[in-house]
Amino acid sequence: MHNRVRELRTARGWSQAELAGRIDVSRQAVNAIETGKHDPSLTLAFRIARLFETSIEEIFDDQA
Amino acid sequence: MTRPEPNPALPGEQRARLRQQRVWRAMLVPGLAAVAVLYAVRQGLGGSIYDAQGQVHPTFAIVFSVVVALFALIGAIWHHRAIDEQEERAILWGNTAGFYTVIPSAMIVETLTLARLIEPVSHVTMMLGALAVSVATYLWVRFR
Repeated sequence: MHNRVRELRTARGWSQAELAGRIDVSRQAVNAIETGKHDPSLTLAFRIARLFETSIEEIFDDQA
Repeated sequence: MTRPEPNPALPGEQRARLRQQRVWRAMLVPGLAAVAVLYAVRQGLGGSIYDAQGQVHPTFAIVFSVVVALFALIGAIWHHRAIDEQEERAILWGNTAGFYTVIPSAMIVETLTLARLIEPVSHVTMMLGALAVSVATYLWVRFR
């Protein structure tokens, strides 16, 4: 699934480890999500969306 | 045993480090505690796990079985509460790969052995083979 996690993260100047700590997952999990190798659960997707103060649909797109 | 919430006052990278420590602690503490218990039992048996006939002492074998089962269970529960969903996914794929490795292997080896085409293969060898497949799959899913 295509997503904008990397774009949103780098816009804030955060490292993958910084984002990982903020959403309570490993750095490898952040990398896997950014590269589309892991689709996050609904719970984690909500956590990411809240952190970036946007909606899940604005971050994740299964049509792209 | 509740999962600790990340402290929002800390920088993300520090929280990530604390989280990583939490995962390692969940594996190491039960493991080290089990080793400590078994070491104490060994000392109680006179400093050796072997009896006068050179066999493993039955008391040690029984305690070993209980301790391994109990601390593995504690460690598994603790570890699964500490990991994230991507780590959990890697473990599930690793376990699945190991399962599908050992089942056909066991059937093939058993049939070939019954037909006397091969010598019996140690169950430990087969288990270690499945474990190697499990670990390789886990590492691939986790770090690819």
